[in-house]
Amino acid sequence: MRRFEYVEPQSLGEALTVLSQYQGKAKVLAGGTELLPKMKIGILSPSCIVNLKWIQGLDGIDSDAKGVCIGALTRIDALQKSGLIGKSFSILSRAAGSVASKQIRNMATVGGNLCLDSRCRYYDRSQDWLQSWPRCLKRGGEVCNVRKGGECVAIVSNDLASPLMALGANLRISASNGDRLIPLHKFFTGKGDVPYDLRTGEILKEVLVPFQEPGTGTAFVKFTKRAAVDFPLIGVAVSLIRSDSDGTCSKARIVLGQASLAPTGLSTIESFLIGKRLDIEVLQMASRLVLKERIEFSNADGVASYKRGIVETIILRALNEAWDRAN
Amino acid sequence: MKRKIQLNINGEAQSFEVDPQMTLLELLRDEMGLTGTKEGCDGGECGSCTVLMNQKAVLSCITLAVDSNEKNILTIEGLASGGKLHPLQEAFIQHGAVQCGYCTPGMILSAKALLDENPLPTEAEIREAICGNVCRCTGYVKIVEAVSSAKNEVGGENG
Repeated sequence: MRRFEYVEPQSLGEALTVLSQYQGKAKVLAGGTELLPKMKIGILSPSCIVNLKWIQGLDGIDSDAKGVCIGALTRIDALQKSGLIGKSFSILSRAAGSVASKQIRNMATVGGNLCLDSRCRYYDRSQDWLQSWPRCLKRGGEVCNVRKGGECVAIVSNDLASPLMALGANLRISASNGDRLIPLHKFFTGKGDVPYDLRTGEILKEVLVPFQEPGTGTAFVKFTKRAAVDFPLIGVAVSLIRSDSDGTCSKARIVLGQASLAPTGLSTIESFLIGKRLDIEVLQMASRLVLKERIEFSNADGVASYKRGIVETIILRALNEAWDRAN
Repeated sequence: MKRKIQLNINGEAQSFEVDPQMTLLELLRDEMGLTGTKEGCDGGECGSCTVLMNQKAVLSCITLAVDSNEKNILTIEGLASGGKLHPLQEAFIQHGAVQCGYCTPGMILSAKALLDENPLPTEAEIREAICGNVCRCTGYVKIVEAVSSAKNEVGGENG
């Protein structure tokens, strides 16, 4: 690895100051499970690394009457094992348990997972491999090697975004001049080369998840090539609320990950479900609507047509599971 | 600029002055001569660099040495005690779960971390616990059998 300046700030304020001073040339170190591999193969070369792990109070899961607050430095393994998360947000436990391997989950953090860079088979490669291809848009070049022109189509590939969006999560982002609070669905830009809205000098501090209403059923389905370790090929997270009075669906959130560039709410399907009793025929009709949603299946991993072929089935599975749980 | 770190490796207190660039893997192999922990992919994907840090399995090739400050590290060399192999090591030998041996240190430590946390794992739980440890030789069956056979002998041990 190339040499770098190394800072162990004792406070969030100190970390923010250093980040601003380096004007985008510093990177924060949380779990290191993305940063270090990318530094080793030369995708990233920060001048300075700001280690956040020695700052008190950035990890841990707290709760109040409204919901939970997950510190961004909370390890993914700790998220998975949390009794509170398991009881109130089972899809988040499930998603956490599906991330990579045990070792990675012991090291990686919730914030780091949300801030994972978008992925593309022409980008996440060694320098040797990349030399054979024109410098692409995500690397500051002029072309896209997937589309031969046009915009970058790298895909947000983290596991936690879809379930957190289905749960209605918000993020607290800290900067030297104050914090901002944004809904998670506004964090992702839909752009391949700059996939999320975290500006120079900012640090993602916390993830806030509201307790779900009574009658809510949720589901998370992650489809991968192999049985473990993989990034998701397609991930779906669903939250449905069954009305007490007449047993119909009163609210729906359906988030499809890894089809478009950013996790996408399927509003056509959501609207279709409201006010209906969700028997299997209704759910099948709803799932079929996915190809009417405004989703552009990105081919950054080479399998857009395959995803188009399986997405309806994955959504049906998730809807079925969520509705079963909505009791 | 070098940083001073103090940590416990295999039960013994150690201190070093390290460059921030140094990984824990480099510290263990090059500074301590503990070459049981292997460099495979050098990118966090194969698991052959697995060690236990505060009883949790981590990838030492993507852990900075400075992040091991104040931690307890267990490498494969720290498993046997008083000349006697750990039950997991015995089980791997008895079941033929070692061929070239390159994945073995990391594999055994992942298994140890599992049994310390979950003394009676199912086969599915064993496979999940070792899914971050790649083996090119054995096909994993004998490894899973070895871990399973050790579960009655390890249960809840620490350190």
